[in-house]
Amino acid sequence: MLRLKNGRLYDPARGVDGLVQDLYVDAGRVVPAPGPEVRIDAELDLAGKVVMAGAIDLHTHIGGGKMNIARALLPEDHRGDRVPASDLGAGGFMHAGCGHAAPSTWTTGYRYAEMGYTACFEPAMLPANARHAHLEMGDIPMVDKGAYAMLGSDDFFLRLLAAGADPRLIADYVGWTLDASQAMAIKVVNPGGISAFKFNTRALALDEAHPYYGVTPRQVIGALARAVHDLGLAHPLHVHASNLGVPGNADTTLATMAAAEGLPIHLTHIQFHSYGTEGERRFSSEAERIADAINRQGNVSADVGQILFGQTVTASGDTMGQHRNHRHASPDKWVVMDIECDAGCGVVPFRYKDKNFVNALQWAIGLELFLRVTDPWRIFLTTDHPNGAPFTSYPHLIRLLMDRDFRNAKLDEIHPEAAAHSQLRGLTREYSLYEIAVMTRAAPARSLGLAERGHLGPGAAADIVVYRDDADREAMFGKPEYVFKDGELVVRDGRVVKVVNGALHAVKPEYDKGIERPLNDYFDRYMTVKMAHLKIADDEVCACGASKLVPHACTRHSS
Amino acid sequence: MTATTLTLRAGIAGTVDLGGVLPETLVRADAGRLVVGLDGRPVELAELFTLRPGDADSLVVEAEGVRLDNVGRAMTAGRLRLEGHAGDYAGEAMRGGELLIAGDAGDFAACAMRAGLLRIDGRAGDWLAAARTGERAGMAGGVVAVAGGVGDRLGDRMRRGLVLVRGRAGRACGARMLAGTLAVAGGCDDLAGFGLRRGSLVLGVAPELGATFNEAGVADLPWLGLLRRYADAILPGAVFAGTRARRWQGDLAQGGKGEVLVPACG
Repeated sequence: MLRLKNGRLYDPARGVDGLVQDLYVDAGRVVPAPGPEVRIDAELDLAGKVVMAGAIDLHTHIGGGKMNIARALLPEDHRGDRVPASDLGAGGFMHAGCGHAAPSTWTTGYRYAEMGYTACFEPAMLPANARHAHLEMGDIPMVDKGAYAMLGSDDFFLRLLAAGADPRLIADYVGWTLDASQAMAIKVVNPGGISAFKFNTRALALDEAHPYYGVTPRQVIGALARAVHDLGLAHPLHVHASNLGVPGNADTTLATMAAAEGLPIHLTHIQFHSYGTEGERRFSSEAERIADAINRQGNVSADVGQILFGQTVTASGDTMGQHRNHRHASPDKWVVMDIECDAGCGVVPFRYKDKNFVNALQWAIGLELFLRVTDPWRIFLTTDHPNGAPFTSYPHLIRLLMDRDFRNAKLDEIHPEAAAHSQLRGLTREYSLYEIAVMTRAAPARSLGLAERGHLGPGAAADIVVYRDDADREAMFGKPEYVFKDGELVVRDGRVVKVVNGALHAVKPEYDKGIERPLNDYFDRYMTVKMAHLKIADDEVCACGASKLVPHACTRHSS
Repeated sequence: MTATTLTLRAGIAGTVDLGGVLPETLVRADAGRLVVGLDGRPVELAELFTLRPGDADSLVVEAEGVRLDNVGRAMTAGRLRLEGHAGDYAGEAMRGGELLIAGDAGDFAACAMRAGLLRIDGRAGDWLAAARTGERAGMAGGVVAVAGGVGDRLGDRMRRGLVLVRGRAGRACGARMLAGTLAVAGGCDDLAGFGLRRGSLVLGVAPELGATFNEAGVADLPWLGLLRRYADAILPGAVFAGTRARRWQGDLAQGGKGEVLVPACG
């Protein structure tokens, strides 16, 4: 048994805010304080140190076809950031790797762990691509993984919706999709819009009928939110709303929240959806209106998708949006493609510049959203890696949130008109360590239904991070002193000391398997693979590289 | 005036990444602790080489039996002489100075080079002066002189600068070139100038050209004399004698502003 003595704990799931307490770890779990008869094999004195659960990133593009396209498109990203292999002796072997915005799988895992992250969720896995996504995630060491299955522009679903199918049938299809693709949640990207793009539509408003199926994005969101709720998934429908990046899209975003009709809904990278059309340049911040709407509606949660300045690459399932963005590609090369006529993907390299008015205002809008949403349980820290910035910039972002002087100093460096347009300087809020622990640990765990992660209570998986309490929060969060994964010490002083392999999390919803009959016919008639080929068995996930499958049961609600 | 000398220690085998080993970095007091790569793993320079200190602007590397990648990568000034063969990426992204390779060079030598002189006494591999994988432009300035032959894809996507080759080039010489000059005394294999946009291929022997090259007769081009005079000072015999040349324009599939020149008969 390991004793972590005298650490200052921030464990919001149990309301613990900076309490000095001992933690006991045994067989990979946090356990209650044992009696005097139990032998303590090892002990660490953490006096003055900050102790949190392992961080959880609930929206990071780390696997699936689009990351491979991004890697293939940007060899310069790899040339510029090479990491040699290193032999850790008893700790195993660290593979060589490379990449800044689209790092290789191994490097992704090592870098996440070295920042104190112990679980990462890939938000855009197309069921037809699931096997590849799992193989790729299986290659990512150190962290637990999971993926959200992408629906909403697939032909089978749009046909069901257009035919006015029974919500129970739709729920069965959604349940089957989750099960077949070993997913953790459902994501919808530009609802119906990816499909409409292929019918030569270049923008699809929330209440605009799809040119072929006749259904609207609002109906798509409503039907999927209902199915996700009825299946009893912990994580709400994960929505990448329509009109990403378009000035004036804040109205769409507010209407999208309403489209859930009171059911839980998660709006992702909301920074890209909080734009107005005020001012000479017809581009302004609507962060206040969006944040107020989130504050008012308890069924809504969001992650920010903060942008940070520098070179990155945007990778998205939103072919319509990425086709629109391609003219901003830097360097000037891009890919937009269809996948199985069911979805798509677009990869556009981007360089965000602080002296560019639009980029500077995007930066300020993201920070405004962080500071204006009052409940840290409903706003998550993301950069939509790599779309807003690579995940390695999280420590910098945390410092921007926790340190007002630092934030204002950075504000002085951006495009002066953007700084003048933004109300960021007037926002005095500074995040506390407790709030950071909420938004990076407790809240994502709760949102995803990870009962054993994101907290330090007895029974929790011993994913524990120990930080030196440094006034420079960027240095503090960039280099944890210790990271434990399932009770094993994996990182010491911000460097991996032991290579481990994380588990895969997937939901196991109940649904009527009778859906396979029409699906089988559908696959035989229209698809390039058989239905049986799409399905990924439980043991196959481990063959893909995950250390184990962690199933999450769901309790079905009747609608 | 003596050169700084690096000599490979006995018993070292494998691939050594010499990126970062430049004349100016080796005069630092802690030069021996400079991190280089051996088979993809970081090691200190002193573990692989013995270092004899000398001038800041001149470095001689003596190494045999290992593959030396990235020799002179991103070099900006001074003189680096390699006694032996180079691996891949010799002189990659060079910005100045002189890199001399007494033996052969591998693939991707002088790719993304911007300025300076790269001299190869032996032969060079594929993708000499070409674009690095995924990049839109190759060599963008400077001079490369190869005494022997070169492999395929010489000057692929090259943008500016001069490449002199006394031997023969492989396939697709000058493919997708944007601009610049290739002078190859021994001629080249098929697909010469494939996708050529601008730039000049000055070949000692007429190549097999595709249908998208248009023969434009014989022209008297005084600049060929100037080129030869300039080139002979670096590598004699790379540019053919005389100013009269048979000229083809192409690649017409790409706008056709490039040219292929060979000596006019008689």
